[in-house]
Amino acid sequence: MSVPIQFDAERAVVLSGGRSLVFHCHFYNCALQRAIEEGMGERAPKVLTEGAARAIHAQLTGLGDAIEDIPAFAEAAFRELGFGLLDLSGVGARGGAAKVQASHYAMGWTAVHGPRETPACFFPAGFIQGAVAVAHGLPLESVTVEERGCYAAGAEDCVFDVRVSEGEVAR
Amino acid sequence: MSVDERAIVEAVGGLPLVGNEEGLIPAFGLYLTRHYADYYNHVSYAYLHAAHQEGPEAVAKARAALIEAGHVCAFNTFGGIMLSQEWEAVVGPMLSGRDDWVPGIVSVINALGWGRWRLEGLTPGEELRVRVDNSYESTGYLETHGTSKVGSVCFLATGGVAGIMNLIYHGDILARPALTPDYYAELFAGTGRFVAEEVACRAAGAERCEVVARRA
Repeated sequence: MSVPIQFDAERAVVLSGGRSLVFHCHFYNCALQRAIEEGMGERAPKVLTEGAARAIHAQLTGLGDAIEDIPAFAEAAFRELGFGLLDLSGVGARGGAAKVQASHYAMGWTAVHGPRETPACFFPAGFIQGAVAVAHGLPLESVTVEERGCYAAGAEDCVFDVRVSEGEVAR
Repeated sequence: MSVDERAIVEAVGGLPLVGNEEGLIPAFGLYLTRHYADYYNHVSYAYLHAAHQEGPEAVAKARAALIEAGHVCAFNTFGGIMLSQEWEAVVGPMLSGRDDWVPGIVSVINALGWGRWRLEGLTPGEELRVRVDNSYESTGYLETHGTSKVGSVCFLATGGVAGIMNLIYHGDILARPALTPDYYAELFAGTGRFVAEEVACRAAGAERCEVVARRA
């Protein structure tokens, strides 16, 4: 496994980059997302995406110099942690397009709740945001990620537009 | 033979629960993720705090929805584990009766990274009391928000403790039922079900978290 993980059996915690990792299944992940979407309405996408972006940002920051190639690490972490296959090869410091195949969230949602009209991959979108920000030394808020095609909404794969704010691109 | 938690944690910790060539972790009849506690805490407490801005009715709805997600987790994850070949091979030989299934599943939970769960008391068929010294929920809340002014915050643990009792004493996981939506409704919405309450929470100033499940 390329994601550095420490298991403290006495405290029953697993850490990576000083941040806690916990096992959960697609039923819980989709149930929690559904609770947030139903409870928070139009505020939900921002909260769900922001939560993911901050989580991966904190892990990558905690791992620091232990990672040489951040996009490659992010792709490996995404796969090893069970979220699907992430392809960041189309994303640079000015943005681009990312793709996720076999998205845990999209496939999980479809399996539990059936297809939906709007994209389901808020966690992957935030994960991409956080990884791109750290990879290119950008402020988290300067990177925005929008899912333009989602397996849960009928697309073959999940595709994300990654944009970097003009001020950061100009630097 | 009594339940050997150390052996169970070691065995579960040694399972190859890493994404396959598709980036998925199929196990126990589910798809697992090794996820970020920071993510769960961020989204759950954003929802809880937003509800507190709206009033008591919204708070009650949010707390119920977050605990319900814990019920879903318990039913599918704990249920899936208790029906698995791994359970049969590792935990099964340590079980001499229904009551042993409780420390058995608590031992497995201690391999999930959720913080240490300790069985404080079990009255079979009536009450389960679990202590958690360092739940990832209370730890995350304290780190980000400080001492809670909104009460207890361990919603996943609360739903989980109720789930253990519903699977073992309200339903009959020992009879290897199918984990269907109808069975879920029977266990978590029917009469005689167990519900849990977090009676002490580190995030709200207690020394440790404690969750008690009793029949509704």
